[in-house]
Amino acid sequence: MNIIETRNLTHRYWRNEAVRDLSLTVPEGSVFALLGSNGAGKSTTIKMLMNLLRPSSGDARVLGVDSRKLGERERALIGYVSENQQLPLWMSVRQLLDYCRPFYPTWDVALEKKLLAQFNLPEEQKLKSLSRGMLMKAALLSSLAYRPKLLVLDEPFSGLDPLVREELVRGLLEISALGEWSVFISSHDIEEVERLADWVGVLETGRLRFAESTDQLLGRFRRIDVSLGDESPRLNDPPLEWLELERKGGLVRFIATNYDRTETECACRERFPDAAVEARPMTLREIFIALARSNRNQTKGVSA
Amino acid sequence: MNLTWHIVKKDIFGLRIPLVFWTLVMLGQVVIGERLFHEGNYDPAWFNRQGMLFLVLSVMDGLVCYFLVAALIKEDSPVGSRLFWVTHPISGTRLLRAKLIGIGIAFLLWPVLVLIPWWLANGFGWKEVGFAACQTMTLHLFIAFPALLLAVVIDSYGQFAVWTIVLVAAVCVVPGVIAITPPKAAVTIGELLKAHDLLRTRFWVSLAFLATTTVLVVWLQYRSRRRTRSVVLAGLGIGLSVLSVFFLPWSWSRPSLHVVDSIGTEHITAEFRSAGVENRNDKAELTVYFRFGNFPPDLQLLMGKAEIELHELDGSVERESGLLLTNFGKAPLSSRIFNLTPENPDSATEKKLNELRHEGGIWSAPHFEPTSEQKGDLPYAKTEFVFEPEVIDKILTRTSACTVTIEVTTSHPQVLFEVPLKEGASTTGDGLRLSVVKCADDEMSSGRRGPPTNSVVVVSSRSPMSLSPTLCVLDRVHGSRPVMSNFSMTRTAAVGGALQFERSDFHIPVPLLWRNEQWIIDRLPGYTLAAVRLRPEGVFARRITIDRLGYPKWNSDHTRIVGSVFVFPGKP
Repeated sequence: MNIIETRNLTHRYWRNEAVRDLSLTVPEGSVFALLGSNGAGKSTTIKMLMNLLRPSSGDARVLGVDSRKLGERERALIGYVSENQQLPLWMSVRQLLDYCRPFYPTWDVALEKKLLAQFNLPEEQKLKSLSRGMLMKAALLSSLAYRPKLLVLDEPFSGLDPLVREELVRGLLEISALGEWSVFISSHDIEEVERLADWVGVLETGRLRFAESTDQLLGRFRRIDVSLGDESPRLNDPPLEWLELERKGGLVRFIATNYDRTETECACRERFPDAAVEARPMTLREIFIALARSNRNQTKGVSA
Repeated sequence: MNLTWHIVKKDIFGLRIPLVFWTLVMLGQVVIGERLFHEGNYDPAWFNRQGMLFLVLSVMDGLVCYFLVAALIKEDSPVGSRLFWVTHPISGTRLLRAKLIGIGIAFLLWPVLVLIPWWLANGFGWKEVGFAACQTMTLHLFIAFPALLLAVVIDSYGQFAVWTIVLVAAVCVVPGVIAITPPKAAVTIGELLKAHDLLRTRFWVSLAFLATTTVLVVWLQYRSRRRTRSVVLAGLGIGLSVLSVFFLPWSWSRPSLHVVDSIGTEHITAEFRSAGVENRNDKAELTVYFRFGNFPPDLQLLMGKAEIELHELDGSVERESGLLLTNFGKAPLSSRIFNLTPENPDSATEKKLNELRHEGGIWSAPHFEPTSEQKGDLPYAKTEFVFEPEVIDKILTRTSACTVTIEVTTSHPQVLFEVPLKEGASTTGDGLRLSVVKCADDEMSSGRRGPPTNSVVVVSSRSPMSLSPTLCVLDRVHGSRPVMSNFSMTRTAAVGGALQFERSDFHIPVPLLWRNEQWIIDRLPGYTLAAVRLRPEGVFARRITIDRLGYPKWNSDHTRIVGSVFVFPGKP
């Protein structure tokens, strides 16, 4: 069963399309990371999923229910943490937890205490006097203590220092081991997401470039080095799935976006006979940057 | 419901500090009210300054209430895309319910609870408390409605403040713009009466538009959070409301002069006495006098209204309305209800007074008693009708038939209480509180001629449902009424406290006795201060038709004017 499904989801701010024809599915139990640069439409997508914004067209189903009709019952199963959520800042951490607790029949006081200790949150301190990292932790705690079926995190690492990021990621990893929940996370901080996500979707200028499992994604991207020796390379007609093709002396480099050892080597040898082909795995960050760069080049090409 | 209460408690707890401040503003009004009674400053300017301060606090009360209502809504705003509550198991309906309960408790119930002890201390009975509570709650509801309407469609608190300023400016400017029309030289009372009915209709229709819009917008916004739709609806409602206020042409007030005589007034007769004409600017005023017969001795005439129809020989009919002015407060009935029996005047004093009168050196009688004409029961009334001069010219040259329909409100005067006239004397009851804050000799200026007087200052408060009492100074020793009623009066505005304050001045001529060839001052012996309530109780209507209208001049043989009191010596 899919915990989130969208079909041709579109949102326009007047004439600007923030999200366009977004169709994706998030399998139950997965940690789905929606990646994209600033302004790609990640937050707008999440806001539509959470019924904070009305889609201009298309629809989204969250926990099997139309996102526009999410009721109290469904919301009790969803945890939402966002970098720009309006928290009641006049409350202390304790007051925030006391306020949220009665709304959730599944609130786990033991888990609340455990997370309080783990996040090292000052209970009596007002939210408005907390640092950004502490505030995110408080919001996360108030969204985790009831063991939601779906946890939605919108840019949770944005603006946090590396230490706090590390704590937050570690916390999320530990928590994910505690129960069976699905996580939908949007971010442009790829290193942290890479450690968490088992599904990745990439959003570019409001359109979904792809969405697939992390393993599959990491498996199909390789940085290829072709050592040519003295032979002059023929660079005509490179396949479309080769990105960032470049030549430095006797070395040709590119990124294979559909890597298959046999097929890729075969394609290389077709163009560069007797060349030595070396394939190196890429990190999610490298993949993301390569895709973003390729997209930018394409956009420039279209405008030119 | 538990979760709804949970939200209500959170909201009120979150606003606790501003609510304490607001309560202090309300208590500030109480403090000023008490100062009026206890600090006994004789200066009317001081009383006015306190009244201004009271008004400032009342305005602050309203302003703080307005912004706090918005703050309560903004605590979980129904507009925006970063909302906290939307991502929690809180439905729009539950949130709306919680907000309405919160507004009810914090802004309607709380002010009443704060003010109830003060009301009770000011002589309110439970009926008056109930009425004052309703008035206070209605007032705060009027403030809460626009705050609610704006807060549910405006994103941030800052924008809310800006839009408030814009709307207040618009409300101030629009009437000004509309008022830029050629002003009429004079407005007749009939026009004023019609205008009053029209304005009342416009006010209620406009209010109905605003209330309906608010209810609809608030409900839709909490249900669906579609701001554009709500803003359009709010704009439409406000627009219709503004248009109604200024341009609604229909008056839906009840038609007048369909009155059934109240019990005890069936046998009262009304007759036409005389009429006078006076030119005023480019209008002419026709004053018509009436006299009533078979008037019950315990009944007092209050206000009324009249409509006149002048039937010309050429068949044309001129119609006009006017207010009926009566002699309330000065009728002989007020002597009777106090059981005052004037004793025979002191013979030595009377003899000396007569001597002085003969010499022309008397300033005024030491006891101001009703004249002999006034002692009889002569309930009378007059109405001033304003016509175009050409109408008056027409009826002055050719007499016309005249029909006047009058509608009069009557009252059985009720003595509320009577306290000794001395400084510090006070009493409460029937929604009234009264205190004599000054009772002292007036300082005589060097060039002043006249008998010595005593100056009395009385401060009173009354509930919104209580009529302003008529205060009378009585001389129980001589059985006389040295002062007919309030000499001068200063009132304070009351907005939030549901109390009206009044300061009344009396300058009482001190009774003088002629003994051993000199005047002896008799210092207010047995003087009391009484409060009378003239509550409108019944109405009767009469139609008087005469074939020919006569127009004696002022102070003619048929009509004699004595100050503001006019009497009829006999039929012409």
